[in-house]
Amino acid sequence: MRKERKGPLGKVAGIAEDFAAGQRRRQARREPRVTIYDSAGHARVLAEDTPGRAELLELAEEMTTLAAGE
Amino acid sequence: MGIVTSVPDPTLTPELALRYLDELSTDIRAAVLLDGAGHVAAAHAVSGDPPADKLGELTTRLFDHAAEAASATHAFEGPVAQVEASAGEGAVFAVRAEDWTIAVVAGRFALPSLMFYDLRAVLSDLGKRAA
Repeated sequence: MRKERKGPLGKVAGIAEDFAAGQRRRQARREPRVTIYDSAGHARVLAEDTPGRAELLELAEEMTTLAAGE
Repeated sequence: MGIVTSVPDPTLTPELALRYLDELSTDIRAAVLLDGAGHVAAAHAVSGDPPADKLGELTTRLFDHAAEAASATHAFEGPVAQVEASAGEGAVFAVRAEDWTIAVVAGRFALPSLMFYDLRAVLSDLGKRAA
């Protein structure tokens, strides 16, 4: 939880922090990401060095391009 | 988005299933459905006629590489049932069940939980039809 700051400068700093946090969240959602699930629904987000992850991302990009009719 | 309505099971064909799926989610740009033997049963794309065979081949490869990743992932149990891969401008969601495999290409910010819910619902309805 963010520490409350008093006064107008504190308010401006709070807004800036919220903006920066929003930017970080948006950036994180844009990062390439691969998740696999087992039959019970348990999810695993693949680490960057996981074998097969790079190929999965390439396939996803290729399918996205095909879907766009390009 | 992902509001599931009931699908009339007795008349559900692979083509109809993908059309229902398209109605369920505005995020879906293309979809492909494979039968238990890995053959393309139906394909659909918002942009027009999809390259069905190519989408089917890529979906099969998707699960091959997912299996490779699963075998290298500590304590991952059993076969991969679902895959989500987000890259560039899109995201791919795929589900493999006993008799069918389905994959969709969606917008980058589609909600995974809703996507998978809809995909599993379609496969479940198709499974009932086959039974």
